[in-house]
Amino acid sequence: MSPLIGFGLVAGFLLASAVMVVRSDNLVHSVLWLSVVLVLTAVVFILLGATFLGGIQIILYTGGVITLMLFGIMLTGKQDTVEIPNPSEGHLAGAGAALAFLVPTLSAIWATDFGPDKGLPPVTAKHIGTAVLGPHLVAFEALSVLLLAAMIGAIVLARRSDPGEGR
Amino acid sequence: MRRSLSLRWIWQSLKALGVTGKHVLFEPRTTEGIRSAESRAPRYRASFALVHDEHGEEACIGCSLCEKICPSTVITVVPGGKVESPATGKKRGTLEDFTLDLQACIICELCVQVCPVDAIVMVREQETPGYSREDLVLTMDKLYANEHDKPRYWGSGSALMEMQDPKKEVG
Amino acid sequence: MLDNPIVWAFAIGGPLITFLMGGGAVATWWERRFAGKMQTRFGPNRVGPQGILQPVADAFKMMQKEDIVPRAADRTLFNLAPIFPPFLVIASAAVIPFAATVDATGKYDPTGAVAELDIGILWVLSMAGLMVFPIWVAGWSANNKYTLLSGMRMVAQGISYEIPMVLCALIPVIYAGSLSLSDIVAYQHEHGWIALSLSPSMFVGAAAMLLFFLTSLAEANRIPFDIPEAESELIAGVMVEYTGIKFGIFMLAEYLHTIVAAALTSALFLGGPSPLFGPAGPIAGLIWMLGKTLVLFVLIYWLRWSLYRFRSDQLMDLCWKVLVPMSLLLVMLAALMVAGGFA
Repeated sequence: MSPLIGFGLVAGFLLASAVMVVRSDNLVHSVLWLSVVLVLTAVVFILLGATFLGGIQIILYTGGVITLMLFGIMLTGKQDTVEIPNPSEGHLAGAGAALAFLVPTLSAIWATDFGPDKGLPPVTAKHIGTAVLGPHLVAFEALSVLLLAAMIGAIVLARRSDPGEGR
Repeated sequence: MRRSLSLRWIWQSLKALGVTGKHVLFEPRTTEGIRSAESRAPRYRASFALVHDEHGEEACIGCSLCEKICPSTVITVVPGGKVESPATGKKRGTLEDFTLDLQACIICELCVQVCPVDAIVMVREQETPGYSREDLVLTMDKLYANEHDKPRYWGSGSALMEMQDPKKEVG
Repeated sequence: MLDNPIVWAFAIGGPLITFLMGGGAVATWWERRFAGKMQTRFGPNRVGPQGILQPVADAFKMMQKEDIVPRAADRTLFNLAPIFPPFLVIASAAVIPFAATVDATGKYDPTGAVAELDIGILWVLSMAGLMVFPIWVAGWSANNKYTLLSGMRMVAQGISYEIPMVLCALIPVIYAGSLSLSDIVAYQHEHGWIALSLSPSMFVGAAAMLLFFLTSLAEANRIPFDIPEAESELIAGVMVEYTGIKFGIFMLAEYLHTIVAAALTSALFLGGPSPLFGPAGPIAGLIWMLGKTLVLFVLIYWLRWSLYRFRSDQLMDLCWKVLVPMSLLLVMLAALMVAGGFA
């Protein structure tokens, strides 16, 4: 019973924060609500026993992605005031579209039989590490090549923005 | 761009750590409370005192020369009437009230030089800071108390005037 | 009843939080007295014996100050921002084992952590990663271009130095084969402290400890890495619009971070509660752990009053051109050590 209450609280807060991301009038407030959403997602992962994934979620998403978004806002938006406006329009149409997406998805999830709880031991970092460097090694290496390509692309993009330097 | 981390930086940082570490073992060079007069320079002077003469009477005759010569006009003298001195029998002036505002005093020592009877002298210990401006306005009681409370500076009016006497320089 | 993790967390967490908060206050006293000693002057020695009650006087002074929020500032964020730094720092200390027991079979069990997470070091690093946010929010919400700049520099410094910190924290993980700090301490009890183990792996361990220590200092914004704060230049940089107790909370978070950084480095690289000689019981373990933390803590303050601060560009240069390659090299060497059987 108490795990359900705990999960209910976390999930409720998560959904409320997600709504605040979209509904908030201030851009920086939206981003900070998003960081709350991401931290609570990590909490959900931990509640499900995937502690490694929860830790990585905080480090990468909240630490990395939010920082990136904040830098983006700071370096591109207008900063004459502390309130960067971010109003949204078409609330009714948006709510309608959300419902149109939500109802079929929820009924599909409810109708699925996920099978009995197999009682597997929680996955630890050791399992993930052994799997990534064992059966899934090719995918791991491909991912690292992809990251390298992304980094090189970022460097190229950054250099092209000042053509006069010629370094 | 000059490298931020270099062997030179590491060596200099270690030397800096050595300097501060060595200083931990030194005695503190600051004092708690007012520094003693013995540790001061020979010509250090900080505050004032009114003195009694060799007969035990108040030396000041209320001539107000110190009030007139003070460039910052910090001295206020209220002379009393003339009385007959019990010790010498002669008539002499007296002082009714004397005020010295230490806040604007520039320690020029002119009041000491000009005093004909060596009544005002300087002392070598500071006044302690108070909680209000009035604490730094020296009253007559405070100045007479300083006569024995604080160590005296060697310069009195007659000594300073004798040093400046032109007759001596021809020699 | 102590088996219940929640009861255990409260039983150990309460004293830990008390110790850390008290330690933070003592750290402010120690900083000023130790600085005085190094500068051949007295520090504060009036309030209480040897001035030990000075932090209490400082706290009262800060609490009675007027709480000013700039009119054009974002009130909610401005008021919320001070809450998180101390919370995150204390939370990151939850996995550090402060003591250890030796059970009947002689098995060494480091057990003084508030929560024995199997992802131990990952928890610390996620808290460290989250710490840049409240400071940035503080800088931005004050509606002051100088605090904004300072906040941006602090975020840049924080996320840059996180990388060598994570990499160097990986060295004990590689040696011990586990992310959990308790396992790392148990490993060090068997094989000797990672930074001082008198074997070929010691060089990698000692270098990793030095780098981890320096990058923790950078995360805590201590000199020589305190350009976002820069007391003599920017007058508290990102916190300049905060008055009274809110500013006090930021400073408390910084002092707490020095304690936690010292404790973390001792747990990861100096064996934590593992003793060099003598018995290995819980009390002895606690004393050893506190002793090691104290040595590193004194070193942090010694460095603060002896070194110049790095300029912003020197800071970034140092991180990306020196520390990141060095830590990558150290990770490879550590893996080689383990593969070669030296660890």
